[in-house]
Amino acid sequence: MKKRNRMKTVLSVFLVILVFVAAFLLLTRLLSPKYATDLTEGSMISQYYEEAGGHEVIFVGDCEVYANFSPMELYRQAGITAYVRGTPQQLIWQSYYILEETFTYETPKVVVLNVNAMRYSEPVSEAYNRLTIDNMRWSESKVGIIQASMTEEETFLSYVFPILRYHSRFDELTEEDFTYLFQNLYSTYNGYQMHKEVNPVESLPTKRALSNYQFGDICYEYLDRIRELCEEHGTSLVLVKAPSVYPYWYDEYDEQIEAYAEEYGLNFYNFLDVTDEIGIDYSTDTYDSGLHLNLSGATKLSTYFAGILSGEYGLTDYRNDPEVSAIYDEKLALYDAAATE
Amino acid sequence: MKKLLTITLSAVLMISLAACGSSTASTDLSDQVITRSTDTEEAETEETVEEAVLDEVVEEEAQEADAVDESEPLYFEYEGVVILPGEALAASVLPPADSVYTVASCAIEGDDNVYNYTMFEVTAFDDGSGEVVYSIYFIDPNITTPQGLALGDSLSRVEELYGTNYVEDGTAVVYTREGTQLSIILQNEIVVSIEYLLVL
Repeated sequence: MKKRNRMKTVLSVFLVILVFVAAFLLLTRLLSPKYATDLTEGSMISQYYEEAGGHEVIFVGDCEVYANFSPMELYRQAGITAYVRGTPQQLIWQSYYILEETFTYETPKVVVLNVNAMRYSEPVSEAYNRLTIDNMRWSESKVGIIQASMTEEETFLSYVFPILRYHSRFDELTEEDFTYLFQNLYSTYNGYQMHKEVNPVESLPTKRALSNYQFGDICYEYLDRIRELCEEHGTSLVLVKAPSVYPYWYDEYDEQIEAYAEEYGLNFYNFLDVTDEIGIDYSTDTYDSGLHLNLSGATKLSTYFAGILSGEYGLTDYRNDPEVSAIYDEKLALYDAAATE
Repeated sequence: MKKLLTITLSAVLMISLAACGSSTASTDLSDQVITRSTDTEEAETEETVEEAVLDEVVEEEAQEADAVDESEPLYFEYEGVVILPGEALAASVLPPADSVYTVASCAIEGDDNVYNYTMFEVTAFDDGSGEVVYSIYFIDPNITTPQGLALGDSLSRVEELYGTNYVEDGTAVVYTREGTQLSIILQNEIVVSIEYLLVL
C-alpha cells in the first residue's frame, strides 16, 4: 500500500513537471516572433535545416547575398547546386559560426563570402542578432555565435530562454502568432529572397569621408578562421563584393581585400567593377534605389557568376543527374511561378 | 637668500593661480600675493615681482574671457532654422530638399531619409511620432557651423572654436555635448568632414 502511494506521488510530481515544461515551451513558442509573414528574414536561418545537404556552393554574408545571388539561376544556367546562408546584417564572426555549423551538415566545394561585413568591427544591434541567431539549432556554433555577437544589453540566458526576451510581446500578439504556432512558413528559394519591385537609383547620398578605413583586427581574425575552416575541409573560399551601390564600398576597403586575397591565393570578385559587363541597369535592376538588386538584377548577376563558378571550380552540372534535377525542376517551377505571378 | 625665497614663493603662487579655474579665485590669490610680498625687505625686487604677477593675472583673466564655452550645445543653424540631432526634423520650415534618398535597413528598424540641401545633408529617422534628426553632414565649404567652422579649416581653428576637450577617433576629433556629437575628420590637419550626430 505504501509502495503504491509512493508510486502515485512520484507519478504526480512527474506529471506536474511535465505539464509545467509543456506550458513553458508552449508559452515560449507563442511569444517568440514567427517571422512568417513579417520580418521573414528571421526564418532564413532555420529554413536551411530542412534543405541541408547536397550543395556544392554555400554563400554566407549579409543582405547583399540573399538579395543579390539566386541559386535557382545558378542551377538553371550551369546546374550548380547552391544555398545562400545569408541573414540581415550578418557580421563576419556570424558568418564564421554559420559556416562552422554548415560543415556539420555538408561539405561544399566552394564557399562564397561577401566581404561587405568587414567594415563592422562590433555588434550592430540586438534586433539583427535575433534575426540571425534566434532560430539557429542548438550546437557549439550557436553558443559561439551568441557569445561573439551579444551587445552590452543582451544576456546569454535570454537566448537560452527566449521568453525572458519576448515576455512583453503578450500584448502585441497577432494572428500570425497563432497561425504559425505549430508550423513554419518559409519564403526564400534556397536562401534567395525574391524582390520584383523596381525602384531605380535616382540619387545617392554624398560619399562621406571616414575617420578610419582600416578593417578591425577582429574582422581579420574571423576572416582567417573562415579561410582556415575552408582549408580544413578542402573547400575553395571565394571572396565577393556584391554590386550594391550603397552603402559605399571605398577604394581603401577594396585595397585591403585585394591584398588579403593575394596573400592567401584567394579569388576576389568585386562585381561593382563589372556592372556593365554583367548588364546591370540601376534604373531597372534594383528594388530599393541601389541597396539591393531585384529579381531582374539578381538574375543577371547570378547568370554571370554561374559562368565563373562552373568554369573555375570544377562544379558538377546536376542538370544531368535525374535525382537532383527532379528536385530542382520542382524548385524551379515554384520559383518561376513566383517570378511571374 | 630672502630674494630667492621671495621669487620661489611667488612662482609657487603663480602656478597655483594657473591651476585655478575661476576668475574670482584668481583675484583672491593675487591679493594674497601682494599682501605677502609687502612683508619682504627688498622692496624694489618685490615691486618687480608683484607687477609680473599682476600682469600674469590680467592675462589669465583675459584668456578666460575669450575661452571656449564648452557647455554650449552643439547645434546647426541654416537660414535661421536651428537643426539639432534628436529633435524633430523641421522639414516644414526648411527649404525643399534637392533630393531625398531613403536608406532601407536590411530588414528592420524602418527607413532613414537622407535629405540633400546641396550644401549639407540631413539624415532623419522615424521614431514613431515623426521624423527625428539623426545627423547633419556638411557638403559645401561655404557653409559654416554657428561657431564659424568650415570644411578646409585647420585643426588649430577647430580647437580655437571648440576647445581641446575632444576625443580622437582615427583621424577625427569628436566633441560630445548633451547627446550630440560633432565629428570633425581631418587629413593632414585640414578639416575634410564635419558632421553632427545624435548619440544613441
